[in-house]
Amino acid sequence: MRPRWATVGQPFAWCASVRRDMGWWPHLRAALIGLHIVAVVLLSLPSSGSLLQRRNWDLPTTQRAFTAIAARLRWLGVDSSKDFEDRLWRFTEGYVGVRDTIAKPFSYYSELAGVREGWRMFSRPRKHPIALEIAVDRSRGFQPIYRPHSKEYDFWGRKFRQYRMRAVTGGFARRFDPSWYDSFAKLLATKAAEAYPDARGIRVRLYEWTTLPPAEVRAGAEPEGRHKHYRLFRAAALR
Amino acid sequence: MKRLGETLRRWWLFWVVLFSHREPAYGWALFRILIGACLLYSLVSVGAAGLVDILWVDVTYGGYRTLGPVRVLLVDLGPATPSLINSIYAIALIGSAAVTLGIAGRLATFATLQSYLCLTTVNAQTVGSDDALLCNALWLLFLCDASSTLSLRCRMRTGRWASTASVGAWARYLIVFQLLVMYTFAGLNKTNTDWVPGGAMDALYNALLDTTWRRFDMRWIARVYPLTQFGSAVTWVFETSSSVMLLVFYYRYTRDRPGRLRRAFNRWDFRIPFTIVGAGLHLGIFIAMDVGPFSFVSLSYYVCLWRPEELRTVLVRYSSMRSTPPASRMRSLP
Repeated sequence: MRPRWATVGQPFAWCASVRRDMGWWPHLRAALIGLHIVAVVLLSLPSSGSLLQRRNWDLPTTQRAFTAIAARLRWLGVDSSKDFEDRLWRFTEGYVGVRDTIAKPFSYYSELAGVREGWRMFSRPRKHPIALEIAVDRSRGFQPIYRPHSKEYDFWGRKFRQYRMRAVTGGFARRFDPSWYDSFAKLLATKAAEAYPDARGIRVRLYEWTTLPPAEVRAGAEPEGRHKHYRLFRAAALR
Repeated sequence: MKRLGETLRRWWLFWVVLFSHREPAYGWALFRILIGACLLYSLVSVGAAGLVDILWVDVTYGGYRTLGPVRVLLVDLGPATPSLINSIYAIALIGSAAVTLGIAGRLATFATLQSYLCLTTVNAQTVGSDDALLCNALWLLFLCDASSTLSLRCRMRTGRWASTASVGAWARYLIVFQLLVMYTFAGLNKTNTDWVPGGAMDALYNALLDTTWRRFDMRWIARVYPLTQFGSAVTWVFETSSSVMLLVFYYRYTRDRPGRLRRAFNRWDFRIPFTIVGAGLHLGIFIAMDVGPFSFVSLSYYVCLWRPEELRTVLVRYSSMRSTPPASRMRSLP
């Protein structure tokens, strides 16, 4: 449909005629849409939750990014001495203060209407992935019952392959919360104890490794990692 | 000062008229069906894997972690017990089916939004980007009813699946805006050397080798490493520059006005390359990784890049191609 005003020579000269045949509702609707747009943009800005977490700043990926930015700034002739990170932290604190103040009135709208935005997918891909392992002791030492992508060790495989469960297991690499991990490991151990009535003990642990560079992968090298966050359970106590 | 006031007034009226346009409802209804299908997948996949009582129930009642109180419409409903969570899950599931089929209109959409929002926010560890997109879509589907055509309600009222009903185009515009905001801020969040051209650009390589999300063994990508670097750079450029599409739409809307830049922008339909790159990105994610219905929710948003009349033209052309025998199709070739 040809826009009505586009037929008029002067930009927006159509307004005068439009104004007469419009009621109050189109104006109110346009104002509400404007507020919605402001809310969407403000709520999309990085918030204190993600920015002011010191452990995120200490991540190797983040530290590498700081080094790269500082090097680029030096190349541009900007002094980026050792306190670069501290200055950036102070700037971020200031930004977050302003952002949170402006966005606060819209937080109720966000909670009520579900208007939010948070697609940061793989913004910092992990170079140190983790994998969950579950093993049971059936009088012959611990034997694995679950490993990711294993057809042989596939206890609870369907559950672990579901994408929300992937987010849970993968989340321990990004943000390790001991209390969440403890209760998660206990739940898995309980289910394993029920599924394997002859099991004496259950072990839940994470395996972490560093992604190999392409040349080493091409050469057939296997990454060597280490197991961490062991949790051991007596099966009898869980039944 | 008077001139400024006049300019502002004209811009305001431009804004008001922009959001006063109406268009055939079937484009918006198609978006409703696609979003409803994605919602159903999102919910059914959790239920079928037996994860409702694990992911969304508090540790005291059989879940895996401590959760806060369940909140609906800013009101606390109490702890996340199996009975409460399963009731909300049932409402969300029935609501999603109602949204897909187009029954009960705004009521079903609002109930679905609130129940889905409640489920997906009760455990922050399980929330995904697709949940935000689905909730944003449901809110706009609630504000601008999409069940007047291509719906069971239309069938029951008129005896036909489709009607000539119209809807406000503003909701479709807001969906497009949401899509562009999503890409722009995703791009701005990827300002490290893993993504940015000139850096290592090894983001895709590392993401595809992460066991958490990959569907199958992806070590073969080491043999096409430069291609993954190219993919990282293209993704970053696509996402950060996607807000330029706002200018594309503005120039399309004001195509009869003068200006060299406008003419240059209107020489091609930039929605086509945008859709090709975006669809390639999402289908690539879908093939290599299991991140839930994210790719399909995003692609559902792409439907709103096109006016309903344009969608119909494409569908009619496609269906006539399918119904035309191959021999006659060959005869029509120049």
